[in-house]
Amino acid sequence: MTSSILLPVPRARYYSLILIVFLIPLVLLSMTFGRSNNLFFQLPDLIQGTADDIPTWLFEQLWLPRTLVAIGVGIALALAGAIFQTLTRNPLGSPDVIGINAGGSMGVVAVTLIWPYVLPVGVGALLGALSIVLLVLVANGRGHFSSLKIIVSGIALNTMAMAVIQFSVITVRPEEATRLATWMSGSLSQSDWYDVIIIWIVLPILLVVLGIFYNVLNLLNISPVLANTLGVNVSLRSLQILLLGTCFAVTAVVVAGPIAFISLVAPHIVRKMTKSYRFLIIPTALTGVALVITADIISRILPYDSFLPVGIITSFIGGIYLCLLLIVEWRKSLCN
Amino acid sequence: MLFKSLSKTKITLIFLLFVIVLLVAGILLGSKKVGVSDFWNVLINQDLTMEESYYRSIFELRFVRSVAVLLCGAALGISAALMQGLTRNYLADTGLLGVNAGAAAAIVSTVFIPTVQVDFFWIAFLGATTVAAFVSLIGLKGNDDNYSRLILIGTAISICLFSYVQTVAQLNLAVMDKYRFWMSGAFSNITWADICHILPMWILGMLAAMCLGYSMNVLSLGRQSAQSLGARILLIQIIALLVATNLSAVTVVLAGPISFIGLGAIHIARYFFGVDYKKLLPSSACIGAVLLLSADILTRVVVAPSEIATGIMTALLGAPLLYILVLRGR
Repeated sequence: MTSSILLPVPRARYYSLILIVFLIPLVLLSMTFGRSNNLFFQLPDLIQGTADDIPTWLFEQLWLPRTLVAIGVGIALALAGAIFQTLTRNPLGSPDVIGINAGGSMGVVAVTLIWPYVLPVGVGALLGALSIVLLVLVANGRGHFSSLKIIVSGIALNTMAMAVIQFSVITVRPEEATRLATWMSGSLSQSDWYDVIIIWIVLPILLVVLGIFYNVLNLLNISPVLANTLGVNVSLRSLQILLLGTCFAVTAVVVAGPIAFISLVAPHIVRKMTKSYRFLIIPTALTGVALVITADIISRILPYDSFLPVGIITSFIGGIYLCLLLIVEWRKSLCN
Repeated sequence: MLFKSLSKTKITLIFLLFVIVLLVAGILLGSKKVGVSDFWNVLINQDLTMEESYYRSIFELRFVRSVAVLLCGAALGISAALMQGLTRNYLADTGLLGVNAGAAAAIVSTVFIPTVQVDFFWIAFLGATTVAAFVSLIGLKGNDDNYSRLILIGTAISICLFSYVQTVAQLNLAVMDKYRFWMSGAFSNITWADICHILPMWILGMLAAMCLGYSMNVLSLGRQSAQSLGARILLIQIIALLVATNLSAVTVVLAGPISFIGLGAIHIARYFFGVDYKKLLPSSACIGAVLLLSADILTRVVVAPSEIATGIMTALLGAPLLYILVLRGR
């Protein structure tokens, strides 16, 4: 477990350090920058609480919780993506492609719109995501994870979950459709301190559990067969890690909606930057945070009249990235 | 299933009958019930003595809408059949491969160049063809492990383009108003003029598709067999691609991007008619029309008096179909 913190891969250490150096100003920027206000230079005053009313309100009620939520969401999504990509042994097997994020949102919509006050939001989201996981596992069939089946069935379930969400929104509460449309692409603009508390209580617990599973996860990353010969109960551990990954994804979805592509892209970037296929917690988490905060800052400072939720920006950029990825893979396969 | 024992012509006739029945049902059903006798009166006796609004609701709105649905359903069925023949992947569908998304993104992009007065169809055609060519290039290269790569790249492109469409819609309120319902695939604002405008292209596409049956059969044998049989593969592929995107652009211009109808149509057609494209193409047009007509009737009936977008309904019904197809292993 200590090796996860000490980062045995040297490139990973350098990468993490560089990322932290870049992240600090980004985070500060995110806490103080807005379309029409630049509070960066008032930061010392804001921290001490001696600034004026409006900047203090903007800082404390709007941007600080939003930034903290963004950090939490970035960590959760990136780690969920890494876990799922390791389990499905396919770089494209991330929860937003497979529909787990969509399932979580479906659960949230079911619990808040259709049957309100029956279950807490988190439980509803977890149930939704778990039902999608179950359906994906059923499609996979017996035996080890067949990544083709998982991914294509996941895409089908993703579309279905999104359609169910749209259908329920229009059927049950058409007046909320606009607000929910924003949330459905993943939005940080409605974050408040309540969300901060949720995510920063759940996330450390999940991180501890991840640390416990770290060795098993690395072994599974190399090969399930190898893990089996080394005495790991592969099916049991895979299920437990699957549950853990789902919890990570659901945490992010409950707080900010299904933000697309962070889970897919963050582990890829880490893999390219550190040239290592190990499961690296800290670089992945930091990359996720960097991506989410950058997207959030972009969505806040775009000089247009309406708000662009974070999810649309990540969808767009992530979609292009995925296309480029597939093109590169295709050209590699041409050379064979 | 017992239907398979019927002869193929009987099955075709049954499906054509379905089409007619559903057309009529589409006019009769909905939030405002139209009586069969009134419908008969208007149709046969040219009895226009009813109130103005009643007559309107029968013919100007619902009939036009049903005809539009019919055209789009047939177009979607055939374009999916062509894409499947082209890519030899049984999960291909113009919605899944992002072709519809390409057409939609192209249409929405016209907001950036307001002075251009080109017909929407050509813009949609351009968008659809670009995406289809891109996807086909990536997906067509030889091996069978391309099975999921095609779907993946199609999904990636369609997510990307849909988020682009949403971005433009959010940034530009005029676009938002005009296209909000259209973006999820809706038949509610179609006029007879729209249909007549697009009809020549539709007819062209359908005729071309019917002629492609033999070529598609040859193509489905595989690249090497087809070449040794003397077929001009590239030409066939290009023509098939253009016809498929033509029909897809027709659908998107009329009603926005609708997915999964083509997939369902061709799978049902394949179940009944086998793998002969000469029979598959016309029958998937027919079955596509049947499916879309039923979906459209459902959208009007399920949430009466309002309606949901047809695209949402087809996704709701079609995505489980895709899932089941994967479950049973292609």
